[in-house]
Amino acid sequence: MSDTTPQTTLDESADVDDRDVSLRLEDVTKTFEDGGGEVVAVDSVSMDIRDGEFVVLVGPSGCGKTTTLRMIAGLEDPTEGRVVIHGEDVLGQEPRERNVAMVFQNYALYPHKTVRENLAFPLAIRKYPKEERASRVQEVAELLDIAELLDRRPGDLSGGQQQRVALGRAIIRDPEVFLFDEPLSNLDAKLRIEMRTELNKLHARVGKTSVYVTHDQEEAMTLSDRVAVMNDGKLQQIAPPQTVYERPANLFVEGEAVRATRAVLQTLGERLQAGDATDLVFGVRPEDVTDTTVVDESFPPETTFDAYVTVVEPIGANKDLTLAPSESAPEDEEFTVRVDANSTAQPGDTVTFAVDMSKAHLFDRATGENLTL
Amino acid sequence: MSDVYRRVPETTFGRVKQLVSEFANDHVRLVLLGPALVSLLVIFIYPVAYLVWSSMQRTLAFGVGAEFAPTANYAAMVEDPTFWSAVEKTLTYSFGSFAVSMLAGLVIALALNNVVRKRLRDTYTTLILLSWAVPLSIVGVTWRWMFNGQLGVVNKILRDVGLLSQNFSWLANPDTAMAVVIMADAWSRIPFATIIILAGLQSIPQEMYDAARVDGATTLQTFRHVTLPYLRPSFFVAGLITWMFAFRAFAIPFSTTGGGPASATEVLAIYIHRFGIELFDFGFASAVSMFLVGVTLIVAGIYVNVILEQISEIEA
Repeated sequence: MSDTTPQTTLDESADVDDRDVSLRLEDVTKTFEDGGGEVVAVDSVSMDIRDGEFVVLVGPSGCGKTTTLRMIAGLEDPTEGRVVIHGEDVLGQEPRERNVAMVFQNYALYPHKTVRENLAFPLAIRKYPKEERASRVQEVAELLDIAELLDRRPGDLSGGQQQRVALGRAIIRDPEVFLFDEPLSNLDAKLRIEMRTELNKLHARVGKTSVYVTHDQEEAMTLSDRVAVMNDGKLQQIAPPQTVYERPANLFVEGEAVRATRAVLQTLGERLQAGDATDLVFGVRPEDVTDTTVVDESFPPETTFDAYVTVVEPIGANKDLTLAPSESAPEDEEFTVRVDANSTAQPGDTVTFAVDMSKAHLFDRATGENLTL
Repeated sequence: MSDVYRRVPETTFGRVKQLVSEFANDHVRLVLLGPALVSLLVIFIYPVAYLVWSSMQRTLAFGVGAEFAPTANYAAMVEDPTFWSAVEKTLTYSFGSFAVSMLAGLVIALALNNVVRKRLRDTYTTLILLSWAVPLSIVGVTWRWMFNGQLGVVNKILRDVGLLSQNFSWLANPDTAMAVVIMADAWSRIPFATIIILAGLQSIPQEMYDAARVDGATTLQTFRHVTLPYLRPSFFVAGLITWMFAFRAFAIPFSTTGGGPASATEVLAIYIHRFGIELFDFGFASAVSMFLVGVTLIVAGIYVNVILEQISEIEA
């Protein structure tokens, strides 16, 4: 993808001064030996995370997001680059010296310890006095609504309860930075959404700098102050979720990371760009396309296109239509648009659609970069 | 099966064949388990029943003939001080071997687990397993010669490095003889303990170590709070089996010292052998065997319950 660092152009907080930065990654690179060959897991990632900010690292598996998190925690050492926490270069420091807390995907609770002992463990290790341990455990247990579980063991708890205990064990130390490694991915869908809301509330109350890794775009959008989209070990874009959604830095961010189906409409691209359109990819979100036959409005001809409808899926307030450029077009040229529920399009129809050009983007086919920003 | 659809065979042989195959089909469990149950009966249930019966017979003159006396052998056993001495030696022997082999197994397993390269680790593991392949009586003979007072390699090494000024008769001294048989027994059991503990170590999730590191635990604290608790079930399994085998051990003490000097290393299995095989007192030997089996079963029963509890705690 692009070699330019998108966050300098798209990160609206680029001009923060040093004091506000809680966590800084400078050209952090991590390579692993893999049977003779070298694999670059994280490729020169830089970002500044401000005090109290909630940043979500999102990307497909193997994109380097977890490795980045582990380097912040001190569980891995970067091959190159620096990790700075509160102005201090923490390179070479053990996790315990960094004052970070981490919540793991499988909770990683001590199975033979009670909930109370699990919560108190980081304090016991740090030789906090008994009374303070007890009062903090009580405080955290009440905050997370697990006070009645204190004498149970992790094995007797549900997944959601275990995750609360894991959160509590992180909170109890009052660390500088919270790190989350896909903490909700082992929960069922309903619980995941509940815990997401709780995490939002918790962050509002505790207000600590947080770095959260997930592959779930919805989680990324709902939890974050800023989303950092990663692919192939590189940071693609770091920006507030709405910006990532509306102004994707490149094809990857638009297409994969926010799970918006790309409508690649070569004909429109050609009309828009008098030059060599084969170098460009035209992108528009499914919901920014209108079925012109049911709207009493005229559209400029350069914003409309005809397409063959293959599938109609009503989803309540909208209808998802799967379109192809023509009846005989191969399946990989199909794309999906989301139109108003009153659309009368049926499979087999050829319908005229209009695109909201203010929300469309043109991408460089070779580099994937968004040229319309 | 409805008769309406059944084609009735015309010949007698055909009818018999059909009956047999129908029986097999309808009683498939019996057909599959039958041979196993029969062999179990022949090679396990019958001998055990015979042992019980035999322990209730008072053996007459040199094993020829016997009379029924259900408690006579047990009473004689309890009253015999040499029996209690054999029990004491068996406990020393079995717990000594248990302690040495489990400790060595733990240390070796931890070392193996820290070998990063898989191929190297597998090579080491195989090498350690080799001593397991040595027959127990060969182990005993080997250790007997290693500790031989005149020709043994141990005396030679100790003299060469200056720790001994003259040969020492390891197997003629009651205390050192016991120590030697315990070491020989432990040596043969270390591979088993190592493998079980190593498997336990490898089943500990990496996430637990990461969590402990982030929580601030040192290496020693991580060992105490993560490694050991997770290891407990496999440690118990390895320990139980090691102890049970050592408690009933015969080949190693018999081929190393033969129970001597005097009866310093005469564990229960050798004691039984002496009365049953050498003195033809089958009834008495059977009674002592019943004691050996009984203790083993009781301990195993308690242990298994403890293990199941441990495992459910970790897995739940």
